[in-house]
Amino acid sequence: MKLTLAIVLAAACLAAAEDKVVMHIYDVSSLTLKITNFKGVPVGFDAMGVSNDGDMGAIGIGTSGGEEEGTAIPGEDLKIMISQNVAPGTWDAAQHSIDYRNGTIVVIHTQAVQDQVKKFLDVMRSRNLRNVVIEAEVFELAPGTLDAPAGTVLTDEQIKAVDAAAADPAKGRHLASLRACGLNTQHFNAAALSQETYLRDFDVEIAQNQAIADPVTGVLSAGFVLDVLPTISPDASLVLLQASFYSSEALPMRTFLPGGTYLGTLEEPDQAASRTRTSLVIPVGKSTLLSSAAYEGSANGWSQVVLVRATVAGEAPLPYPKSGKATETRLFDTRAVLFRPQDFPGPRLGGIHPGSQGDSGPSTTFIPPESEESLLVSPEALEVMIKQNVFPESWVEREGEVHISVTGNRELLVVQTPEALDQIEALLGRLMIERSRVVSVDAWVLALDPAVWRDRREALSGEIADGSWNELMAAAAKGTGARIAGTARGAGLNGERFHTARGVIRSLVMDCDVEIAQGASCLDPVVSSIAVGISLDVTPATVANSGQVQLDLRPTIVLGGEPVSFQMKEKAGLLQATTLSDFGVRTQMLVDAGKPALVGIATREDGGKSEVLLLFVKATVTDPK
Amino acid sequence: MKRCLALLVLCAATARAQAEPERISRAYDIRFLTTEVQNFRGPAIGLEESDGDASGIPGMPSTDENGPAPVTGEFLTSAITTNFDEDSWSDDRNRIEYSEGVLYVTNTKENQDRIAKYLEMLRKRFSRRIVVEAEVLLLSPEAFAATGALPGILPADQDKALRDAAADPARGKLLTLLRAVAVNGQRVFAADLHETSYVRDYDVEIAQDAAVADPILGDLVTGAVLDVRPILANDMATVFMDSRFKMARPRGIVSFDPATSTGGTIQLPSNDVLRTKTTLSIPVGRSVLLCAGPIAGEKDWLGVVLLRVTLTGQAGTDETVSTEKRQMRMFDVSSLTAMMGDFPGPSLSMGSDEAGGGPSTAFSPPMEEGRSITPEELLAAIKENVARDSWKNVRNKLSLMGDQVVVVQSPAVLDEIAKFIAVAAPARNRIIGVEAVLVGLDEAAWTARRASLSGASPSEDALKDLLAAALKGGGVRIVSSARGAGMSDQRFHVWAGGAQAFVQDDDVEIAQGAAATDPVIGILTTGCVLDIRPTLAGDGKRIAVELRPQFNAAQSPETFDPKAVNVGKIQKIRASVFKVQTQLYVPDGGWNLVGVATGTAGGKREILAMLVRARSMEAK
Repeated sequence: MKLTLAIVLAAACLAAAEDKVVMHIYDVSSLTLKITNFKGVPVGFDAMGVSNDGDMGAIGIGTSGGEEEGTAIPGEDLKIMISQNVAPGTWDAAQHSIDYRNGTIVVIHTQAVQDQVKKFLDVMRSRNLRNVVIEAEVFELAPGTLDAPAGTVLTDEQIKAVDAAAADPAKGRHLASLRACGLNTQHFNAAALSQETYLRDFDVEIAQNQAIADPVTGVLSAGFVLDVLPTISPDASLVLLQASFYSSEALPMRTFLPGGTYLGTLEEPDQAASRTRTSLVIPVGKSTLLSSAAYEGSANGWSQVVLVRATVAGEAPLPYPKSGKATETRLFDTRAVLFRPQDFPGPRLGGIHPGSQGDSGPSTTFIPPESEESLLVSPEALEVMIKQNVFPESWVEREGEVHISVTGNRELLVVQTPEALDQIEALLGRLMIERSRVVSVDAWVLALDPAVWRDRREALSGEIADGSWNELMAAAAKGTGARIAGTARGAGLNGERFHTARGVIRSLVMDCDVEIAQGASCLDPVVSSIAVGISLDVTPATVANSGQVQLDLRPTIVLGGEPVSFQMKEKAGLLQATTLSDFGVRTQMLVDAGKPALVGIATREDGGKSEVLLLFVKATVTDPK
Repeated sequence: MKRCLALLVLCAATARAQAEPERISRAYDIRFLTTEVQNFRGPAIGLEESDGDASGIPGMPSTDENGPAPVTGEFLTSAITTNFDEDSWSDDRNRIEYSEGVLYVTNTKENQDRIAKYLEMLRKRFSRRIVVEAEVLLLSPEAFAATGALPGILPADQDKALRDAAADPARGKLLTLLRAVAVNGQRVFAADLHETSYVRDYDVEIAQDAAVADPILGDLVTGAVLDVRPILANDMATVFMDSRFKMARPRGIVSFDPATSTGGTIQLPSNDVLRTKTTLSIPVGRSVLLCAGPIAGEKDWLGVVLLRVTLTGQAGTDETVSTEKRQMRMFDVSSLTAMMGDFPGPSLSMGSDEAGGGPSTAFSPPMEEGRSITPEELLAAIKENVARDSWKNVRNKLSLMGDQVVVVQSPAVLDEIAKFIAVAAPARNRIIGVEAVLVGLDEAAWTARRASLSGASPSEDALKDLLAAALKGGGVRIVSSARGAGMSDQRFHVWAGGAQAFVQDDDVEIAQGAAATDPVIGILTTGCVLDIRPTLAGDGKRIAVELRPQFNAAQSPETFDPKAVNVGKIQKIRASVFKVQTQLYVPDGGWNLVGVATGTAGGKREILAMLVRARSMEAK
């Protein structure tokens, strides 16, 4: 009896000890910390005032990057997740509490529950504290070194071939390496630039008998910028990458003396530039061809090739704890599925672009084109899809016990049975496969002798046989009656507008204004930019399972552009003129995936010689896995 | 019988008179407790624009707005009547009144003695002075690396090693010493300054047929300023301190002649800069490596700033010596609720320093509102987490008085509150030291190391090997570096570089028959800026870093002659810029490769790699 009593008393004491509540403060600032998005500062086309296709005009020199606040796990959501997953149903007791303030969670509960809270926070950290590293390598390669559609994963042999070519000055060179690291769903960048101040323009001040030219200085930036926004797929095997790559190389600075009584010497920068802006899905750890472009005006006609690789650093995600109850709470990472790709119009090559702000002439107000709706799933549509496909009756019958919502961080918070949660995970996996589809588009501009065109015309109209295509490309490579005037390769998500462009931007004084007073007059130079090169601007969309791709095409190639001085009148000042050959199309068409199609034809006269320009495109559909 | 009764009454009255304690009146001078604290901002020095954080006039200190007084007369009155013989104050014969810095008290001698001891305890607590000393050393990169010193709290052996290296002329020297003394929560500064006047610009005055250049004199202030606001933690063992240090060392003044008919020769100074703005929790009596960075004018030897905080004055106890069931106690929470400002770093650029002289791209943002627990949030947290149900009793009170939380509660709950406050802000008990190193590799060195430096997490050994190779030279070099320390979740920066004036542009003035140019002076800022916000991840293993490092190197300005009539010469600048902007998680104490880009230096292509290391440590 006494022994029994002693045992009962001991058990009671033990139970009382276990029920004793303790307070613990958990630092969760890393889970609730706001992500800051950093936009890179573009160089090349944007910085030189070349507007985008469809714009009314460019902002002008000095488009700046910026910061904006991204999203994080709200502290209140984190508190709910803890209370739903750890000792659910016990938090309303007077002696227990959980409170979130300023990056800390204060928990008052038993030690056993405190241990579970700590483990739960470890699970959350394992799933959220991950870095994404994006590396880019930029090469210039001789024709034939790398023949692969953009968006495809390079094989080991292809990578070795590229490295070997870069080591051989006769076949290629390595231009740049870039590495940017950041968080999942964050916009971040890395850049190395050279900057130079220069005298870009004169404004004129005039009085009754005097005038003076007010020098206007500018800053010319050149270099490489890698600007990315990666989103890791739910299974962490893919990265949905929104990438902007900018490069520019300052060519020798020209000087120009417009002449006249009061004006001085202007400096005219030329830049070789390239730009690729797109979103595509790439497998983690594999090198992927982002873009390549070449045109006859570029160095030796070689292609500038950009390879990207994404890697993920962090712990292996730990599984959510089982609560042992009928329903559990889980946070699904749906940010890749709900990713809303941006449309990226390409630069408008050719044309005359009024440069300096404040100049008279066409408006420089930037009016972006309407963003087209790409193929995507909205948060509302995702909720509906899940409710209709996963235990549909349960959402009504068990209302109050089950729950689904998309958080401010675009993740899916679900309270359901374990079976339903597993089905939701499988559904999201299938959606991710659809989301991952990438369409590559290759474009070639070939210049043929008129005689060669006549011979091959029939074979190249309509469906082009493989043999005819290969013969044509071989002839163009050799230069026998045909040559490659330009190529561009890019890739993007199904339904998204993307572009890759390469060219040279030149500053020219193509016009002048005048200022006059009673006893004085002066010319005021108007500085403009022209852009020559090649731009592949396209919106591809696969057509169900037909094997066809609809292309919304805006490719352009512009050749020429050398400045020539023109004397208006003796002692009255000089202007600069230029001649451009501008070959572009605007069209929509259906093409067979994997087959080249002839999109446009034009003729060109150059130094008394006539040639026929042909624009071909080919679309390839890739599933990155 | 009547006589006995009268005798009895007389004895009772005498006995009563003897049992009644004597009342005395005293006047206590408590001005030392109720006078507002005056704050002093340090002067701005150097060439670049004042960032709004220092005094606006170069070389001139200014007063900041005053801080609160340690206590108020009303609080003292309440504290005394609550803590000492609470019931006695309802007797009309006892009085307490505060007026104009004097406390008038009438009560028994016993209570007066207890009140005097209480005021003495407060006097000792609030009269303590915090002494902040800074030593600025110049060390060769090899000597610095040999000490193994990292930014943050220094072990005694590293502290000694740094000073020993500075004492050896072959390895280093002492540049300057600064010492500032403050009361708790007061902003003060110490400065060691030199001033030089120079012709920094010309304005142009123009009339119908004539123009003339009006010289504008500048005042170049160089030297070192240590500007601090120390707050003593409740445990008296740590000081939570805003620290603003800047050193500007003159590198020379170059003359430039724009060669115009009206203007004259302009003097263009340049200086080296080492600057940091941060907040740290510093253990009393320990040395801290505040910041370090290369000084171009000293062969890129490293400027190293050491800080040390000590206390003077008498130590007081925390006991109120009260035996009441409910007591009033004051908790100094200033080290928890003090706003931890964000200190964004400067944007290195080619900028104009003339107001209205064209678009300015020089950006030196002022301190931004940072993060802290507000006093109201702290009160709410106490009520939520300590003796939750007891606050329904109206006799238990919780309120704020300046930087103090004033509580009326039972002694047991007061002790619980003390324990809660000690752990309420865990992040304020740790500081984070950060180093950033920019390494340059030539093509061959990059090709040899590319594989080991690729991927999600290049190994610690590969990165250490890279740094060791950079110290030796050859195909790998250290381009620049910066080291500093700060608090978790605070944005702070270190800038090691320089500022140089140059003739960036010309404005023009014109009249009927005359025209002239007015030179526009720009300030080129160069060097390395480590601009970072580190945040403890809470798992003891990782630190989240929000990074904005930048590097800018420029060649000497070139003269360019526009060759336009009446237009003067200007200067062209060529610079190399490296920037990374991101957030990522790094292992506590390990090196990380946060960015790579390809640039040009001296006409040659170079691959630039930025390495960052963050290390957290407890502030004790």
